[in-house]
Amino acid sequence: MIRYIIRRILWAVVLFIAVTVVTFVIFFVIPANPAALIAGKAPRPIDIQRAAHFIGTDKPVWYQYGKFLGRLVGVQWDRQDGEVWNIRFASPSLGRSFATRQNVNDIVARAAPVTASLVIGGAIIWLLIALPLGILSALRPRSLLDRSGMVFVLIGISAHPVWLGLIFAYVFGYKLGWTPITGYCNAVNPVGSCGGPVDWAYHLILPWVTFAILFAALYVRMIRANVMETMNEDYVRTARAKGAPEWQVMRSHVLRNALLPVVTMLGMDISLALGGAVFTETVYGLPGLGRTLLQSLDAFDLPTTLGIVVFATMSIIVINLFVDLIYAVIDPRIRLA
Amino acid sequence: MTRKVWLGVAMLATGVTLLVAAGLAAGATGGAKSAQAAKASHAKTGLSMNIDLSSTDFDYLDPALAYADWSWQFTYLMNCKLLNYPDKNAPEGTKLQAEAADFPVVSKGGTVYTFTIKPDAGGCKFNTGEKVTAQSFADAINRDLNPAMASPAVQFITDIVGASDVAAGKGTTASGVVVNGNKLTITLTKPSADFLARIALPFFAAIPHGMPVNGKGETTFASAGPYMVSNWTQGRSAEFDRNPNYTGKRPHNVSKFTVTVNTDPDQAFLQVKSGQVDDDVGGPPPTQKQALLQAGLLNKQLFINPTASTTYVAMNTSRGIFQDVNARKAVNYAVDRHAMLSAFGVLAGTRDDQFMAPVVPGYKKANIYPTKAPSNAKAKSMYSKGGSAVVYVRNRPYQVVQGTILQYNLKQIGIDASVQAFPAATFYAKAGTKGEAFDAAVGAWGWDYPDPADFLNVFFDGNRIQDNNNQNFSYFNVASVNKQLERAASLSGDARYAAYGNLDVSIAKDYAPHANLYHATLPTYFSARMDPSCYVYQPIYARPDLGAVCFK
Repeated sequence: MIRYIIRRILWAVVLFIAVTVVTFVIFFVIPANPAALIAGKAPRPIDIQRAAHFIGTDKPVWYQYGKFLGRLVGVQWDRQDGEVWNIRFASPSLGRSFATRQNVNDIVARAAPVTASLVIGGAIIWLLIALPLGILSALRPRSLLDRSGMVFVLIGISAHPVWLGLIFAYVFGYKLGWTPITGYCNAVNPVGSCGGPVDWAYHLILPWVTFAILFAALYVRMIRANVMETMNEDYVRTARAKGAPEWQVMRSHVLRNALLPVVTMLGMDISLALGGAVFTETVYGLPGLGRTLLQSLDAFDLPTTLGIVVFATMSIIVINLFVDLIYAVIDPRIRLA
Repeated sequence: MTRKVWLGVAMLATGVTLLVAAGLAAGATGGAKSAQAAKASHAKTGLSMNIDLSSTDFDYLDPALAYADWSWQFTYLMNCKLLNYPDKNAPEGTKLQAEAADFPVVSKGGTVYTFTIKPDAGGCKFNTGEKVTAQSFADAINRDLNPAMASPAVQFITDIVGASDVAAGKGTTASGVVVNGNKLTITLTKPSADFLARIALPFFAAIPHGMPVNGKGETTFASAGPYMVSNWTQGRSAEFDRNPNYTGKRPHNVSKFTVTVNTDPDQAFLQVKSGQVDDDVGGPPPTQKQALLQAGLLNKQLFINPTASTTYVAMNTSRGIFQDVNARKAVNYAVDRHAMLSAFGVLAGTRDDQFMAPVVPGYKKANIYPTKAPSNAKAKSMYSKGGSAVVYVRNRPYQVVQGTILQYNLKQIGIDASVQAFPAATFYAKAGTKGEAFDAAVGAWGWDYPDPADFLNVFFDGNRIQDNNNQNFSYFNVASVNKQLERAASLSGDARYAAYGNLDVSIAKDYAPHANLYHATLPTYFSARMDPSCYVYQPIYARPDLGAVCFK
């Protein structure tokens, strides 16, 4: 187990360096100058030079990348007069935004809970929909419930979250007035008059449902197929032949095996959903990671983009590692070593 | 099996019940909020106003750094300046008036400006109780110049004696900025007729003594104007309250502004429509304007106002077919300005063939080229050699459509154009690079300060062409025109405006480096509880004056 974890962490480091190098290179290939953007609308060359010095883009790309990596592990360094290296230790940092000059740690720390709220709440809802619907559809194939479920699946997979979001906001937010049309409130640390668990949940009802529908549809189909396949397994037939009660057959033999891939998928989807949440965040004005990433790209804000990429990469790596470990626990046939 | 089915049904029902319960609970809360809003709608002033700022956030609120026009809409509420623009519609709103100081005494050579701060500083006082003094303005200028601020304000005050030294890190106070009691003396390196317009920029508003030099920008700080920022959580929301110490005459009808940032434009529109918020600073979505017009809401809830901006096709005079002045003139005849503007939306602007917008002082209408429909016959008579052209556009959907329209228009006069779309930052970087291989670019420009020099000298003064970051996308560089622009810049008053007005016409007529398309308008959609009779559009900031709004 320890060897497996070490191996995964080493791969994570390689992956991390690859992702950040690619992001860095893409930014420097694009012919736009962030220093010019912050120097004003019609700046003189000297104004742009000063702005470049202020944000550090007057140095070579390798130097900037080195500074980025150093900051990330808490080592800051400067090269003075081309000779002297001034190395010091500080708190790990993702740097400072070109566009807003804020600390990227703060930007990510503010945006990540929003995305986490959306994704985790959405995941609970999609499971609440998908588990019963998928299982019931499998138990009663070609029944009215099964066919209705498949219609839901078709709609859920076909409807884009932006379209769903606009429709939901119009119907439930504007016409019926049941929910807010847009916006977000913190669960803790209220901002202004908006905050607390009730406001938080109230503002997230529509985003959760919008976000969950696509995944719920995918999961209904997957759970239905898995359960149907497992029900035809020999060991299920044997259990029934031995006179085991139906609920026990379902719980211990069918569902336990049928839902195993769902755990894997859930882990992967939750980590991928960190990026996929961008549509829901955009349409409901949620200040999460996806929306912040889009805005940073629009503003040519490399540090913020990199900060979110780093955070998302780390999240995906950690969640996948966690899922793999869980997998080993719930399935005795799997041994990581 | 039956038991198993019922178990599943129960799980499904639980999920649905949770959703419905949440919806009903929320409905009750929403209803309570609506009732509260309805109850409060009787008073005229003193109410709070909820505002959305869709698709973006304030860039900064710190006066040294705020540069976005929507940020200036709010800093206008907070700022106290030496001279300021009144809270009035055009034309009164475009005329500088004394605020904290009287109009300055200008030395004979035109390089020394002496401002005398009024005894009550025009009613300005910081919300902390600190008085506004001459030092408050000197501090602002020196803080802007400090390299640790990296302020875009520097480009507007490089002609103050000693400013460049401070900007280069040599010292902390510009030698040309001197405080003596209630007098502030500013010395320039050479006379400048637009100095007052520049010093009235929001960058140079009074700041409290000891305001930190903070390159990230202060988020909350003391203000001396009618309002102050009491809270700004970046990426989320901001709150602006009345400054309790302000005793000036500027309107401050609203007791509090709560601004939610980064909302979706479509959802923000629904919020305004339903009365959940009173205004989306981003304006209504273009697709909704027609419906609002048909509902008879123009000048009741929907307001359309001109801006000091221009959208144009710049033709690169330094290479290719547009070195030929007749080709440039032909494009001016061939371009379909009506279609170009239609792509931007309903009531989105005013078609025009001139560079300066009508609100720019000195503008005079000349009707040089057709604005209603293209005149291909005339265009072909001017230029029939054909050729090819690379056209740069930005990549928003309507801008890509405009690129396609231009491509079609050019085809009508035998020019084969290939259109390349880029994100805005890339577009401006590429088109602004001297020697870049393009022939035309569809760009836009809005003024920083109300002076024709901020249009014509920016576009057409060839002496300002540099290696990168040009706004002169046509790379127009004619010695005689450069001289005339420099001469116009040295004039003041009516003579200045007349000179620029003439240049605006003559450059378009004789050289046609741009095919100007239209001057955009700014649509504003207020909620039904706002009283349209109080609506004031501040023409300099090209935004509704939020301090002046009131309620039905």
